[in-house]
Amino acid sequence: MTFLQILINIIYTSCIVILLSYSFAISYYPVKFFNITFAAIISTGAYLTYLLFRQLNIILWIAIPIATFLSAFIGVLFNIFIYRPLNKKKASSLLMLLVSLGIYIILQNCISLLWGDEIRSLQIANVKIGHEIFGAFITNVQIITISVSLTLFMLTIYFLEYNKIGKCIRAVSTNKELASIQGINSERVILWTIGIGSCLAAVAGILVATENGLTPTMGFNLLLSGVIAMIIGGVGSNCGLIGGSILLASAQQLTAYYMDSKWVDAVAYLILIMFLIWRPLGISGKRLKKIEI
Amino acid sequence: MKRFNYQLEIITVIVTVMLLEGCHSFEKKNVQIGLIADLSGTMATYGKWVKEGAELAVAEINSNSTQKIDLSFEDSKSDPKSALSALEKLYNINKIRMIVAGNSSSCVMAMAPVVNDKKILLFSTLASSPNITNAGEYVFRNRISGTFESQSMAIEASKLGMKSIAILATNNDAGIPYIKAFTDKFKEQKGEIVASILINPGQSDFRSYALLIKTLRPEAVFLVTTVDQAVNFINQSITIGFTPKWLGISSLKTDQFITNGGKNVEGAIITNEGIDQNGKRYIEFSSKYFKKFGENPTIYAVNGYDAIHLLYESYIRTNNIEMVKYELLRNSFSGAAGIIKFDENGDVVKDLELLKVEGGKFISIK
Repeated sequence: MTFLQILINIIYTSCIVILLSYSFAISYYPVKFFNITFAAIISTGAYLTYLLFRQLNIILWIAIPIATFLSAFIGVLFNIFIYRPLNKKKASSLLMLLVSLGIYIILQNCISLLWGDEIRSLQIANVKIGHEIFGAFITNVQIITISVSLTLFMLTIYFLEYNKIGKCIRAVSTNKELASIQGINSERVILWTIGIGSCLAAVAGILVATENGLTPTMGFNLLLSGVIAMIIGGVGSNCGLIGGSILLASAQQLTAYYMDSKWVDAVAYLILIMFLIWRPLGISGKRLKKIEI
Repeated sequence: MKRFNYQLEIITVIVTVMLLEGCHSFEKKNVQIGLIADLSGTMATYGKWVKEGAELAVAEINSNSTQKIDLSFEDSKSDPKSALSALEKLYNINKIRMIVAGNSSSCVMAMAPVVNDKKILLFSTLASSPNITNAGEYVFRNRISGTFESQSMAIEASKLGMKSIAILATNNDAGIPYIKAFTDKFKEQKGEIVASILINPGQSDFRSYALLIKTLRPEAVFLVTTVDQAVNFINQSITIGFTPKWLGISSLKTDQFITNGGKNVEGAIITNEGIDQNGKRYIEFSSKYFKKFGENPTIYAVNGYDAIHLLYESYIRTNNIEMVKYELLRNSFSGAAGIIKFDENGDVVKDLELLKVEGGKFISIK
């Protein structure tokens, strides 16, 4: 029973991490900088849902898409007015990282001012005992989270593989200059990646909030998990990303169960350091395809 | 005659100026009090309550007294380092020597050596760590010590026939002493502590702990956490079919515990600082608080309110910070919480009551 319950917890956490790491990865590939604003987008998605659903009493299934698109819109606006001008001025990745950290702090403080710092509840139904599977339990919220995460992940992959815009995103992610030579408007494509990534991040934030509640700083730790999963999975590989997410989620859940919660973050960073030293290309071992001009 | 008039005018002006100066020197200076509270971070909810109580007290005093209060706020951000910075600012820049602390035990413990060194009076309204008892002669508090809460709960659990209990506590200066006090007392009562788990402040995912404790089959879980964490833990435990008795401390005696916990917290037993709820001052404070903030006051709002009144009244009587300390130790006060007295360590002497959640309300059972 215990093993099965741990397994269910690992699957649930893995799905959240997959969604988070993919939301970050899709926008990381074309711009090549760690956009920490995504941490604020995760929180924003959850808080906008809280505003619409709890405070304005809008039906949940309408509130979630509105909150998701508003979060994506905020992400796109930041890109248009801040990151794009900086990019045009050939700002370094480090500078962009610092700017994104600043924006994250501003957004997080705005959320704190509007809703306070306390944990707020986004329960969508009364909490009750989950469905029993051989002595282990899984709740409706967990089932919805797993289904939504995997569906969105598959849909995004399908979109990138078969849609024209998706193909452009892959082209720009592989080589921005070469894509521009082929007539692809890379700036517009980057906006698409930010928009899609922000949507996924906001949904991840909403899903976590329904189970654990929401705080203004919730996005940062979630994003960190996503980034670590992306790095240990191997940049540029979807299978690696899934592997990285499962490895990280398993390590976190097992550590919390067998050791102590104090060690959860430490174990995550330990895995990251080990990968960076002994397997810098991650689980997939795949290098990004790059054609130098 | 003209010359005489001219001299008269000059004398009149001089006398008027002297009189005005005299009036100014007789005008009483405002009483300076600082408030360092956790207004952001993991303890923000509790800091907010203290601030609201304190604000209400200041508004009352300033509207009824000639000698008013200047209250300066600083946010300690639920972080001991920020609490120290706030203390330095209030002391060095604002020159304040009476401070109400609405923050966690870790913050108070961090500030204690500085206030003792610089002879600043620190009055804590929130911190319950037993370590604060020996934090120094300039540290007072009107929050009851955690040792007393833990021991009372251990005795009550034993009386209820419980033999095995798990403890979930926040990993800070308050949580660890609570575990020790509860464990020692419960073992004295021939009970067994099957697990003592420390959680991080601000943590919200407790599935692994709920599962771990479930496998140990305790009859009850003693929650020494914030109200948000307690509700999350209870809800996550229930989803995996783990429904022991829930025991808790006075941090859970809030409207949020009932509204967010719903039916899942029914039957929970918690300790609470005894308040004379039929007392005139409590009734007045409670109705004013509800009118202004739209919720029932928590013990932290009551403590914040009483702290300002205590410091103000003591200062008015003595006009000396050093003497305020002796006033607090020597006298008893009538506050919203009832009669308030302090022991030789600056700890409040209060009764403790046990509450049970029944029908969505806290019912006193002892």
